[in-house]
Amino acid sequence: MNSSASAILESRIGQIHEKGASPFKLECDKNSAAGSVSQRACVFCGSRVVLYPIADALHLIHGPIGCAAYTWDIRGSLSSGEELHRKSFSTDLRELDVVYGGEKKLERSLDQLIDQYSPKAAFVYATCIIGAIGDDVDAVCGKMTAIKGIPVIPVHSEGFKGTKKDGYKAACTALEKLVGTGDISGIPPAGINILGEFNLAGEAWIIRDYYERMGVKVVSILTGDGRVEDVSKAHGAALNVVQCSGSLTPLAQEMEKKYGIPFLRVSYFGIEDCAAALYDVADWFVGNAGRIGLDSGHAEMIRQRARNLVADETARTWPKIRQYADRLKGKKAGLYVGGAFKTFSLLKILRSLGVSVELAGSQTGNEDDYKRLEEMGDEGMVIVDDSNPLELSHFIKEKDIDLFIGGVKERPIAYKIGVGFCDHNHERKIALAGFEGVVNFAREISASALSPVWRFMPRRSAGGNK
Amino acid sequence: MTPEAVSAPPSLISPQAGPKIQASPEHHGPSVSEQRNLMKESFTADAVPAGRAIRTPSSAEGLPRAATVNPCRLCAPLGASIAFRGVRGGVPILHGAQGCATYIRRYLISHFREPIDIGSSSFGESAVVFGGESKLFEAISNITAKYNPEVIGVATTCLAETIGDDPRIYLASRRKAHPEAPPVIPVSTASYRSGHIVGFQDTLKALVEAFSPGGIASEGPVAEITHESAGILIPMLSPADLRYLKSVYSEFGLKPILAPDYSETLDGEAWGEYHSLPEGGTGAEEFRALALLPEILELGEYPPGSESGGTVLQSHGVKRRVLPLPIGVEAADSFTAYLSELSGREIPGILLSRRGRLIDSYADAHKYLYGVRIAVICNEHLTPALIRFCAELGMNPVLAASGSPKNVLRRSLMANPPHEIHNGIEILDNSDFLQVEEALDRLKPDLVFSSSKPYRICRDRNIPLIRVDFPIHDRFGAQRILNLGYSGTQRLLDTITNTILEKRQNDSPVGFSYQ
Repeated sequence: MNSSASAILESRIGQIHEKGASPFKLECDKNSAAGSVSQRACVFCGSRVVLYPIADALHLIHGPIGCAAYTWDIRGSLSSGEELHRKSFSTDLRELDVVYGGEKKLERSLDQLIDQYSPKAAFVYATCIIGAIGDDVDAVCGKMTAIKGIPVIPVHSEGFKGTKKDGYKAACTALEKLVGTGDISGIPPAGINILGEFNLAGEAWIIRDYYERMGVKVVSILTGDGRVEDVSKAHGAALNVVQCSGSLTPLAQEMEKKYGIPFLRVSYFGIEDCAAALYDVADWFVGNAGRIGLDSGHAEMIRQRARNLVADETARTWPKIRQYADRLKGKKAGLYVGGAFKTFSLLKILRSLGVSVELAGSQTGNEDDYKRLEEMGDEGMVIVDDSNPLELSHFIKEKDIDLFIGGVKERPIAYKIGVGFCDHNHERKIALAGFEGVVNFAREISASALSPVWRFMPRRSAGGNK
Repeated sequence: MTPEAVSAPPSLISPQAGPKIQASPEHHGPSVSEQRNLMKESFTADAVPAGRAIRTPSSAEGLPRAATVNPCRLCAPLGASIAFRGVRGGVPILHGAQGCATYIRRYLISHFREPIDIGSSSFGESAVVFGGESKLFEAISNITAKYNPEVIGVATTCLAETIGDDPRIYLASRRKAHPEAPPVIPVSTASYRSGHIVGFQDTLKALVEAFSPGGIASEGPVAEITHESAGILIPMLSPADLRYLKSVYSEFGLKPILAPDYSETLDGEAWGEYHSLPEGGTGAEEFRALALLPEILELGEYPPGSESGGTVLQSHGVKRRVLPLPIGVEAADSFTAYLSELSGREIPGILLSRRGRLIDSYADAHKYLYGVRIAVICNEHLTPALIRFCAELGMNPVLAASGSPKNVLRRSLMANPPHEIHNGIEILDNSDFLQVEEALDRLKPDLVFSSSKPYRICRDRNIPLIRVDFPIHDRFGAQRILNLGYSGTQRLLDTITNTILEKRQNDSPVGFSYQ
């Protein structure tokens, strides 16, 4: 049904590239074409996913009910204590509020909710119609901050004002208001912040454990098992270690400018990248010990411990993965995820498991990301930016893909046409980061790609396509 | 949020259930006045003074809360998207920012486990300033090019409505310029006006209007009408319910036009390759035929004055019959009697034996169920039906709550009350789950009927949750949950009884395997 010509909109041809077919060139960072059935969400979504795991803050969504309803307890971000983030709070604006403005309702909502739940801070998300009716959210937040004595922070996340990436920026702007307000006395010199880690299935705890075993203090994980107080002290760290570079890089850049805290970009997915992350941090402390007042012996110790940790974990992990790799060898995979940075790690892990990547794409990658992805990929790999169901299913068929890795919206596309699937998005409940995450990942993809059910699907069964 | 003080009908006790099956055009079962008379005759042992039968919770007497905490409803364009998916070759476009389509897709996908493609006019800032016309045209043109739809549905989001962007105006001129293009049917679905259930109903109404004489899509082929043709309009139900309705019509020799029909589009077969348009749906020609039918059945609760697809058809001279969802013997009997009357046929043996087995299981199960306290937090069509069903079984409904518009639930239950109320039902219209949580603590039900959303609050209170409504995101097979007819009632009865037995068994220190 779908030849290339019928699957791809003319206006989107520039956002698709096949390695080897032509010199690298890919358009990206564009607004989604209307009617393209983009897999992207909106500015609000970007802000909401970043701030969501701050568990002791009130997250009040200012607007009609939908935005709050669809983001109620949908993510796998775990908290070690408070769970205020798992409730859905909305000003639930009605017609009269839209006509006369929602400021009063917002103020009353904040007043009552802060009294009832005693949050450590409140984030107020402005949704589409707030931008249209012009409520002065900043003024209400300022007033409530003064009255309630906690930070009440506006998040300018009107859905139409850009893409999900702009939502990340709005979330970073909100976080900047908290960072720098806490007491940083007593924080040791070898302290880091973990950025862009959302503690899905406890992943932030796995990563923090690695750093602590290395002798590095984790000052704040900002957005994973997040606490307002931890965020407020984040400027006491010597280094920001940024994962999911798309979302938290703006905050890291701002903190570098304001507090002189440099940042490293890392990934914790896969043995190779996770080891590299720990080594990079260790090396950074060795190289900067003098500047940050860290004893050089301690810095060397961090490096030695990192080596030991990686050696131990790899020795424990690799045999477990091998049993999967033997059976996965020769399978073909497609990837479509939120940020392009994740595709680099996934490509490496899959390769180490003997799985080739035939299709890779993301909702919000930038040109540098895609260039790097192209360099890493094999000949014939298709790269897509801001894709949609018709394109993805077209390339799944064209490349005869066995396994697709993506999020909730990609899953039924894969299953419907008889293709294995692994969820690598924010709703998952299985840890895929760190060394143990690699084993989980190998098990996850094996459970789908090696399942015997596919032989019954029209795609594979006698009689062919349906 | 604030339930109004309710002038309560009296506590009622059921009459002896007779074997007769009959339908009443206004409501099923004995009339309200009959029931009120019955009330005077006797009370159940633990019945309370009549004035408390349907009441307002005490918490509502305090200051109303400004914010909604854990909503019971979703937004209107979600309902619109499901209804448009029930049109053959139909593709929905949500007119507004990109996020609405994506959030709704994700929400629907997690329930139905089907790919659900929904376009967006992807508003940017310039669309907000200059209007969304060109973005909508771009969306229609891209959807037309890639999906080749038979019908495009355009539902407005809050944003489009707020800036006063009305597609009805510019779609009319586009239609004149491109008469050959597939019909584009707009519906106004601002979520600051209504939730997903009303969004669904308004979309069905817009579809019926568009395809009926004088409507924007009335030109074109019309399905052939025969003596067997019968029309049925539905509120939001499961695909399994839709299939069941069609099969019961067939058992009476009727050929139903079910609108909207997403029984296949949202619960389809495996594919060899991606289909831009899933199979199934109510065809445009079938929609056009609806206004030519002598009679239409509209299932659900429609308080007086509410507008729906059925009232539109009524204005075209079609006789409109309204029946509550056929859940429970009595409601299913009304439905069956209606079909018997419509088809002029006796009730088929297969239905009678289904009914007979169901009655038999009522006897087998009744003692497990009597007096069990029930809370129903479902949509405004399902909640009253389940309350009546539970009452019919001798259970004790204590809470009826919904994210419904103000007074809708209350009016439905007052107009057509359950047969037996043990000691009062608290009704919460326009509710959220925080209010429900407070009510659960007060009323201490033994069982909750809802979607998967109140799982946490039920778990915290060790109350079993029976998932019957949308969305169900923590269980498998939501699209195959059958609630309607004798079969759906049988499934519900088995589920309820087993849930009670399991709870007792799990809570027991002895743990008998023989109960």
